[in-house]
Amino acid sequence: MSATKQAKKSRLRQIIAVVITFGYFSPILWLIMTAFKKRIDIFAIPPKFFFVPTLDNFRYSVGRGMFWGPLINSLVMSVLAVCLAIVITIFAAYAISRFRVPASKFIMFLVLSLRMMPPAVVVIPMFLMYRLLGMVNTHVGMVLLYTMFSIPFTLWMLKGFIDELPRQFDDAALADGANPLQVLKDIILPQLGPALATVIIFNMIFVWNEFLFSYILTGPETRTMPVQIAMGIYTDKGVDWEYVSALSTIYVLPVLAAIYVLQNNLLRGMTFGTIRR
Amino acid sequence: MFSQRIKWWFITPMLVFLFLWNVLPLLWVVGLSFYNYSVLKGGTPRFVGFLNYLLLHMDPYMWERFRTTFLFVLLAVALELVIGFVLGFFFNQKIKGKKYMLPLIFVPMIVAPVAAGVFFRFIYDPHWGIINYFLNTLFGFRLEFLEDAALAMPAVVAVDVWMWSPFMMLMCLAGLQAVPKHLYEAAEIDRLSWWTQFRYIVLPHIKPVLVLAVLLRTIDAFKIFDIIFVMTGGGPGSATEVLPMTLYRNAFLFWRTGSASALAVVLLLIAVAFTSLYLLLIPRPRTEG
Repeated sequence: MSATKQAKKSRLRQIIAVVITFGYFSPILWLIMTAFKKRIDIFAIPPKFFFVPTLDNFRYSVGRGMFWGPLINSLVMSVLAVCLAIVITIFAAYAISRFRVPASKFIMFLVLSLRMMPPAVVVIPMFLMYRLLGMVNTHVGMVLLYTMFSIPFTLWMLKGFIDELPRQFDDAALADGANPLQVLKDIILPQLGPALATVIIFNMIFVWNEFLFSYILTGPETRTMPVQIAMGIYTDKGVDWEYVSALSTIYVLPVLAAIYVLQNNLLRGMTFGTIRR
Repeated sequence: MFSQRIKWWFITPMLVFLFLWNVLPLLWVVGLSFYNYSVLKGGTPRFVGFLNYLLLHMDPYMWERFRTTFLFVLLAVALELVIGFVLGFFFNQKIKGKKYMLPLIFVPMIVAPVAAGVFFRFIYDPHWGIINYFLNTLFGFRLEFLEDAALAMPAVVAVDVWMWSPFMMLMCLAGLQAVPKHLYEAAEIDRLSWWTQFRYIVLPHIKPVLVLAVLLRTIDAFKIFDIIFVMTGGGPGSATEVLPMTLYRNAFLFWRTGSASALAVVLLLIAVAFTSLYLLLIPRPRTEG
């Protein structure tokens, strides 16, 4: 193949790559653009691609109410639930990874199938249980629920990461008479640093995005962002796109930022740590 | 030994939590499936044995829901596989700025399905949606994507494909990177055709990953709820009513708790079967000990 032909081919490839990237990202770009448009521009025909950005929609959304509440709920619940899940799970992950635990295979299987189940299956008994305990529409109830929701992923990921750490350091420490708690704190945890960050961010995204449990189990005081987006779109005048676009933009932006942090571990995270590169 | 006892202290909190928040509710749902009960009406649940399952089995609408779900899963996963495969091969080449492009392509995977669903309603809108604007200016017609029974399913599938074909692409890329470079070089020297290279060098290396990807996507597509809930609510009519949607409606709109539980148990068994299959196919990590 001649050099010019090859150059042409590589330029074509470059153009196709940009088009594909744009294609995948355009719906989100369009969402963000819509959020910064004036009310009349949102529904303009032909659609406006160039416009002077304005914060009107955000001001309007704050004024409409149910703006800070769901945002704070989502934020607080995802942070608390994920921290709690990590604290509960890291001990188990360490024990399963390093010691002989009877039925550990079964535990891992059970945990994974819990996560593979359609949420609609679990939500029925959860609703009954929470009603019985008076935990529907409580912050504590939701945090505990999301802790449960985060445990399977946390266990699979942390066990995978601990499996990959060299054993000789903690074996040596154990032989020297250190107890497993010290080993976990002084040897495993420091080595786990970036891995732990990955697990936390992924988990927070999953909780942040969760809809059905929140939809069934929350009320106005505990409502999270996705539920508010799904429910808040209806007004007497039809769908309130100013509100929805502003709310969704704020909802989606943190996730956009996270993708750059998660890039290298994306495959691992999306497969529950079952596939490692 | 000391550490032998302490390991139980390490695992027990998680197990207790799992039991209370997961296993117990699931046992509850299995139990409920044998009773005639409605949360709304209250009263004492009446034991009816396998009646709920029998009714489920005889309900012709239920089979239709199974078909709808199957159709959704098949369409979505097949399209995602094909598109992801092509994109995976394409992006395995040398491309300038790939580092900045890939994250943008991967974004749909981790965006909340609810937000995606709501926003695609805006994009699909027959009056001011951007797709219809282009259709109208270029071809002079409009489509009511979500109101038309024939179009609703493809429209919903398209959103799922937008979200998850990047995942297939990611898996495919990972598989392709596992192909040893010297095999390509050898093939180059032997002047093997493109197809032969693909068939005997590339495919064997990426097949295990792709099988897992397809299985994982099948499990996930089977769970679909959020997108359909916000985009069509299962409609128009029942064109997009997949099983999780049916389950939700039976349990929380019609409050048939007992019969909904029976359906939940069926879905649960399907999910467990898929999970077992998935675990069987995971390549054993070398570090397992």
